[in-house]
Amino acid sequence: MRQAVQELIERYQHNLFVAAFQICKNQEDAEDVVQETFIQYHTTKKEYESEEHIRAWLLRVAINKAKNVSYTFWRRNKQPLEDYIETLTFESEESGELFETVLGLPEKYRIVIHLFYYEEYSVQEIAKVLKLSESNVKVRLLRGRKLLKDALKEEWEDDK
Amino acid sequence: MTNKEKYQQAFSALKASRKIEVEDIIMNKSIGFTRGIAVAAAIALCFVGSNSICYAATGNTWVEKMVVFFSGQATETDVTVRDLGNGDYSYTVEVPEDEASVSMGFVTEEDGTETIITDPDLMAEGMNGAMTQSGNVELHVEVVEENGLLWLVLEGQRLDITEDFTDGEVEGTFSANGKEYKYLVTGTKEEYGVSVELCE
Repeated sequence: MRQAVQELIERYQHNLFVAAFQICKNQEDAEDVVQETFIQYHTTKKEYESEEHIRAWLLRVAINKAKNVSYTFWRRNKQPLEDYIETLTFESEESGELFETVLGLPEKYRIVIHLFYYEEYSVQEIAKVLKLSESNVKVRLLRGRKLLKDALKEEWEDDK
Repeated sequence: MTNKEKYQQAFSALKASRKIEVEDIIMNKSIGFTRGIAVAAAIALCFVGSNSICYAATGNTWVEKMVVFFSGQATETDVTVRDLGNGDYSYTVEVPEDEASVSMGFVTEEDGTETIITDPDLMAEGMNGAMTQSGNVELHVEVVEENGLLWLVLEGQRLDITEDFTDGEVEGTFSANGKEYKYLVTGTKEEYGVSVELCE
């Protein structure tokens, strides 16, 4: 199956942007990544099993493209992350603190944490999106949570 | 609030400023990094002392042939160099439409001087592959990037090190020629070191 690009943009643009931002830590780069991801969807004549399959594929491609941008030598003039965070409006002080703490995590924990808490993916689904083993995802999730707990103390509950 | 709710609330603060137009997607109109002109003004590399690459340091802007990695492949291409006047230079390169990433051949000399490699042979030897000696067996080791993934190629065996290399170090074991080896990759994607030891 395939879905119209328009529908996918409306449904997933924000999610892809947030996922890309997790890696790029830069608004413009993340926006470029989202646009490139939709272009790749449009130009790749791939058939998908379900809408969930499309969503996972889009996230996977966006994450890879974001890594490409992050790793590459050529970078655009970047706005410092601290300056960008200053422009954001958080609902509470705790939200802002959580945001900054997450972005301070090592990338390999950060993206797993993001897919779990933001996209509400299961360990099995994260493993498929990131092409990792389930045990690897579990370890990263565990370590990422511990780092969050250590930093945020009572602001972060112990997950079962 | 649950952790999920807290997390989602925190990241709901992120808002994309640019509206994506369906027409742009359909027309494959990329405004991103991977197509068209990639301006590397932010990459103002500092060259200390004499440098054979930046010989025209007195000019404002000039074009040089340089070897640039496109998706891991060394390619000689025109690079516009601009003297920023303070010892720093900016570089602009046209990126082919179908390339996912680009990087320069770039090494740090023993004295700390940073130099762009323009010699394809040096590039191939120093940046795009490595021969390493382990015991009496010569192994071919290479780090390549394909489709957004970073692969460690050891004697033809491919290991996906994308995730683990983000920390700048990845280690593990592999078998070749009937023996078990331990490998360690350190550095960055542009400048990495690979060591391979025979497991005891």
